[in-house]
Amino acid sequence: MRIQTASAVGFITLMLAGCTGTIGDADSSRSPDGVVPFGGQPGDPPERERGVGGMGYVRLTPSQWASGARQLLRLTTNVDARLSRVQPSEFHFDNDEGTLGFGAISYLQHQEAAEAVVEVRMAAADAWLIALMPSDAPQSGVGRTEAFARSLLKRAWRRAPSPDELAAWLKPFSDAPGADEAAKFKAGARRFMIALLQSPGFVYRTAVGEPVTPINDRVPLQAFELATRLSLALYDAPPDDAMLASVEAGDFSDAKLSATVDRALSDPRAREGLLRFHEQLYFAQEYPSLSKDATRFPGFSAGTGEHLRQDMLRTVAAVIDSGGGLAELFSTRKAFVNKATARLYGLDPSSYSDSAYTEVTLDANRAGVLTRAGWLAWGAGPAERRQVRRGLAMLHNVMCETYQNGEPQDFPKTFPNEAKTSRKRLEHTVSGGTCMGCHATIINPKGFAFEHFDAVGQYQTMDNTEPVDASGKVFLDGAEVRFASHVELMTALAASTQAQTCYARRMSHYLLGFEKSTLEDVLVARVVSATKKGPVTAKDIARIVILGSAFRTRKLTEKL
Amino acid sequence: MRTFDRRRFLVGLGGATMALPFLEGLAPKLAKAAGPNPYLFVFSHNNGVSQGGGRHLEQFWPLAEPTAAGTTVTEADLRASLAGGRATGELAGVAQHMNFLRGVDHLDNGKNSPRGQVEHHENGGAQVLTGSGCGWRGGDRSNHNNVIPLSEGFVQRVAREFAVDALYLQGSGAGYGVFGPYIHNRDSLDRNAFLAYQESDYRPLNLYARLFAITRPQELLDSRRSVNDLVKDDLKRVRANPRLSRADIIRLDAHLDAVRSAESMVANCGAPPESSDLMRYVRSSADRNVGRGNPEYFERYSARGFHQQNEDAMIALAVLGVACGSARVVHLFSKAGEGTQNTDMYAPGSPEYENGAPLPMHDYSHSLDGPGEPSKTYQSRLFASNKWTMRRVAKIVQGLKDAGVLDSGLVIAQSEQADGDHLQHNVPFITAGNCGGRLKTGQVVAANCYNNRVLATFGAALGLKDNGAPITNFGGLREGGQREPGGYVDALKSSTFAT
Repeated sequence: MRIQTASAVGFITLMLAGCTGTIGDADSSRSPDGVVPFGGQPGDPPERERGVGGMGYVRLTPSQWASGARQLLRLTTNVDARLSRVQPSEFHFDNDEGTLGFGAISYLQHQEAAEAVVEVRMAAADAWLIALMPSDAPQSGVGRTEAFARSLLKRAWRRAPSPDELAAWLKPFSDAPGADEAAKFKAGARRFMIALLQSPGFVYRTAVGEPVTPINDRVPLQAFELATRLSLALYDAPPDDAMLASVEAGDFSDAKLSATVDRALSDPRAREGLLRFHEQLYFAQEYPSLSKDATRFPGFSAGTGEHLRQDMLRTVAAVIDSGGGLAELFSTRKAFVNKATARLYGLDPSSYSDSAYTEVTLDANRAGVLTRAGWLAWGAGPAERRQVRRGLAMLHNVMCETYQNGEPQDFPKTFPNEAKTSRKRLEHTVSGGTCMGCHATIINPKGFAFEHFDAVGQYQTMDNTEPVDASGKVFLDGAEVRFASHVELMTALAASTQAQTCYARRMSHYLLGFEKSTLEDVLVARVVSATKKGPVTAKDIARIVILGSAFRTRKLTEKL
Repeated sequence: MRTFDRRRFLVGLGGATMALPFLEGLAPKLAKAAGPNPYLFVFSHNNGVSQGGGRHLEQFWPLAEPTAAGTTVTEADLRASLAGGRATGELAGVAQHMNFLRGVDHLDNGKNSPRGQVEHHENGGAQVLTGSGCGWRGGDRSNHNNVIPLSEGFVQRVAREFAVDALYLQGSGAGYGVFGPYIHNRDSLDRNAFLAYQESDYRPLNLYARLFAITRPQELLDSRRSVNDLVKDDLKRVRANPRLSRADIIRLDAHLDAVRSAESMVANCGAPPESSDLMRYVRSSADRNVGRGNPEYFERYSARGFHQQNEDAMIALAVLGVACGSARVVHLFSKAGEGTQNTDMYAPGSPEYENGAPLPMHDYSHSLDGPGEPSKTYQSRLFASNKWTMRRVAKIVQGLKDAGVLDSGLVIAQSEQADGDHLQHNVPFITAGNCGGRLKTGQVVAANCYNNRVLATFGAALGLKDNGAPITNFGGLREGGQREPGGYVDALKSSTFAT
């Protein structure tokens, strides 16, 4: 990535984005159960005037669609939907509302996926359809068909269909060919289920809101919409039957919401949801496709990337399971290695299994998840570290700073003799011209901190023929912080408000499914307030986000 | 005729990851189902850019100056290019879908070789789609017929990874193209591909049977129509909610448009009507299946527009096959039927067409006038021929676009050599389609690299993998076993390239 022209502007943007000076000190204790009134609380920072997000219709991600299909049709095996994963724009999550609409190709993929899911199971249709039939359905006749359709529509759409909707969706049954009632029902059910998996009520996460008078230009989500947002955020799946029953029982009312969210967070599936967030925060989903120079790193084979992904996920899981938060993520020395990855940490591969992962405690040169070989190898090319990539990842996902992308520049193809280390070569590359401003001040130093780690994450003290220089300085919480290497930087970050609030911002982006919420400053204020009372865990932050107004309301935007 | 491997064909239709028993049961339906699976359509035109001294090579790029980051080309740019003597102007109507690559060299490109060393069509044929350099049979470099390719060709690799049979097609038979300069020595393009090309089809009726002689999936069409109606009605109901925002309306309208596009695709997926001009030609061409290389055949059909008509029919059928999902990898040799010195590149109605006059296309392509022709006659002939070629590319691109599948895959138009006479330096690559959004389009790019990186870029965009990861190199082998480093043409990569 080649950066930018307006260094001064970039620096000013950075300082504004540092953000700790503008945050109010809202006290969430005024709302004992943590549920924030829609109108906000006294002391909240003002809602931003500008922002986006809160679209009413956002397509399910491929994994959410597959999970939903499996739940809806009560399948016992996973659905291989073969839907293309949408690649979000850089540093966005895959559930970001901006990228999840329909085009012709994605529609056709859903059509084929729906056909495949249903067709393959029609061979055993009799037993399958009985399993999907409500227990109180009539034994025959139109009433039985209606009961079947109403039940599936309600479970697919997470709400009861209106009479008009039900009438329209009975058409596949009435139009179906068949010699007798049973044959007609079977043919109709096949087409009905294929259509249902493509219906807007199923394929979208909806957030239209209640038809009530807005407060501060916001309306609360309908209970089924809130349950859907919660289920997708934590479980990466639409609400199951139990959660839909919980909606009907009123568990998503303000009075019961806090307890409902606590139950949801204690569900083992919530751990998976938080892992998905961290997986994308640290780019672990991309590790399996990493390839390295076979000459320089002969041990880094095609499967190594997946092992590194597992290392990252297991490390994060260990932090979550132990009630940890960002401080632990940035200090943990736990790793999970096997024969393929042990060598990257300086361990003897012969002591480890080919497949099983062994928990180890790494040496003091490893401090937190950003010193795991996966993240470091991701922040590198086939043969050399890429400090700019590492620096940008820090800038976006750890410190929430901004900069202005610049025009691409031609890089030099030769370097002076004294530029023997990769750091010096990069410094030479961006020296002078318009690149210098942002690279020298806000991008490169964050990448240089990890200079001790080569392109596969191995610790080094020498680069080429010279000692590694991993020192630098960053602006943290508005003040200059100097560091000798990554260990000091990670220690400073773990203790900083800026990194903590950035972590909360990024988690809110994931849980909400959009960025630039106008209520983001309010959320950050609540997290800051919580940190003053004691350590804040990943689940604590998720709870603050979910009980906050941004998660539970819709900002009304321009009407047609 | 080559045995048609139905099992592999069906696997390709459903996707290689699906279980075969299921596919066999669903085959008649899926076989006609329009699908968004990626496809590859390679259009090879031999001779076309081998112009001595580079005087006419420019016809294969637009006027816009290429840059490493990519220079945008618009319809207006290409129209201006046509007026400025650039054959690529024929692609103006599909400009936003195109990429024009400049500065691509083969590994053995001859540009630094002293003249007199053997460089020929075969050198290009062996390299253009392998991304590797030339090998020499028996180490004998004294004769260009000894050139052999060093690694697998791009078409074969894509077909292998898609788990389908590639369709190898010729514009017509009787050939100089296939047995001529392109793979004259029976090894070019791919060390294993000769048999495939030998059996390649130039007969529209065979292609028609291959693509469409499958039970009509009326049940599937009816089912999809019914399902689409339900979905559309639901979308309209949802859209009528007065509490939606403008963004919601735009999103739901896009969804509705997507359904309509899908319907259009399905509707276009049947075999062409028997009453159509295309099918009349397809049926009437049956008596022409007399075999390639037959002198009578050659005399009878090498003139009077046969090649043009035949190639257009082959293109129309192949495009329909891709649109319907019944063909996913196509390699069509344009002008494959041209005689050693004869061609017929003019539209019906032109004096040359009406007179059936043989035209020495090979001479023209090498900046030579035909025997007895006035000086510089070749210039206008060559421009006409190049425009004819680009119009064929435009037909393919427009056809796939109309069917709604263009951007699910990639069209590549290329020739085997370029700058100078018989050199593989600055070989044009013209592409269309964005591979499901993985490539940027609408630009002219100064790639300035070897073609192994170009093919690696295309391959990664199409989903080719090495050891489970997107390929980063394609071919790149030199005769001594050294491998040229891989990499991508960055200007072609969209933000979703790596997925």
